[in-house]
Amino acid sequence: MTEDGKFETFLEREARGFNEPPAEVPRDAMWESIAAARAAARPHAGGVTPITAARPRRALRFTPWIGMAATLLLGLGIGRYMIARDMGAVPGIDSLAVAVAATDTVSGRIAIPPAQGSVASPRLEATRTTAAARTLPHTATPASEPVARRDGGSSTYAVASQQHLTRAEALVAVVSAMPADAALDSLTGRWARDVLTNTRLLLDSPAGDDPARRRLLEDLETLLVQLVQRSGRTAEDRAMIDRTLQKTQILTRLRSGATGT
Amino acid sequence: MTDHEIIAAVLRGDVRAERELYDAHVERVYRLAWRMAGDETLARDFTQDTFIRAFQRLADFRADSSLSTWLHSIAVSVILNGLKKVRRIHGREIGGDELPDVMVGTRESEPDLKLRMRAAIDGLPEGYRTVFVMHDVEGFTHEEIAAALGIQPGTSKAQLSRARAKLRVELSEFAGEWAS
Repeated sequence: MTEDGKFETFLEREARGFNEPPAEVPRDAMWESIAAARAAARPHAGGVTPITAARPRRALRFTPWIGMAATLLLGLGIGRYMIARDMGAVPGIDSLAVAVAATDTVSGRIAIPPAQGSVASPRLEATRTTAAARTLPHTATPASEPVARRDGGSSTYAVASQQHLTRAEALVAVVSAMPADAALDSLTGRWARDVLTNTRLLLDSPAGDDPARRRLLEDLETLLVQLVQRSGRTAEDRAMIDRTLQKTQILTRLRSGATGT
Repeated sequence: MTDHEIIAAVLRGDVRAERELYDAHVERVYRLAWRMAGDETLARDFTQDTFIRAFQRLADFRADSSLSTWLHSIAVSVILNGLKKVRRIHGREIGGDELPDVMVGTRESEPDLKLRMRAAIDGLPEGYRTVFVMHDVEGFTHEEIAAALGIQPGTSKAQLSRARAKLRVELSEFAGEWAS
């Protein structure tokens, strides 16, 4: 065999180990993303629209109206967030956190004291009572009490989770649609920090016991951390965030989770 | 089902046919993406992007090449463009025929054959590297490579030859391994 032939044989043998792929191809996981993108691309497709998969990013980035659209979306998102925060029609996340602390001090989970100087509202007290009742399942509760109190508080957590996921959805929708921009990044970073705190509280509460909800909250947490910890290198940060959005399909899942479907 | 039947079914909106097309080709596309990117997340992204684009453009597919060849041409385009973006992001774009910095200084510090082999392949100019990985590592024919890259089979052969010559120089320290 010639020297060339020997080298080619050597090369073929040794190069087989170059970037060797795993034996198993993640067919189903990849297919999920592809199917989601396909569903979004179909005209009149029902259900959810995963913006990240179908979005022609390059075209959007250089289109003049995207700045205006992003600003509008950001405004809508902030408005939605503020309304959700101000309404407080159901036990809010802050009272939920206190309730979790009140409950879980007994069970050995995290204990979060109420904020200094905060005044306990009747709703907060009701939530506390609900949480306490959760740890004492044999305690009799009057039939006239709200459902949330009679069912051991699980619906309280479900409502709080749903409310939180709706807020998170607004943030993620804004982040998905807006172009990379340092000023907007700063705004959404502060917003993400707020949502992150509550996400972590929910994860440490009984709301995180549901496996599907937990996975959703954990993926949301990852994205929020990336939003909060943006280094200022806009393009690099944006690529990482885009990848997380696409990989986790978080917006699609938040929409499903937030509407309780 | 034949390629023609699958394509017709996909174009009619048959989701099962989409999955059948995907299942028939995903492994080879994924393997190529893995080999080229050397990263699981990128390999997944490139594979997904390849099929999303393929389904979007399937109506434009003309049977002057096989479905497999057509898919691989999309895959190669997605992979190479994706890798360029990644390199840009990491600020270490490797251009044209220049020898990348990674090869300078690793000669003495990295005596291990496997790692040196990896560095040498990664350091090949993009065209050489693509042809080498497709032919010598993944077993594509020159005709398949030519169709995927939009070049002549002769060009593919020439690039493979140059790639091997460069690797031979880069791996000359290990001449004993193949001369024996």
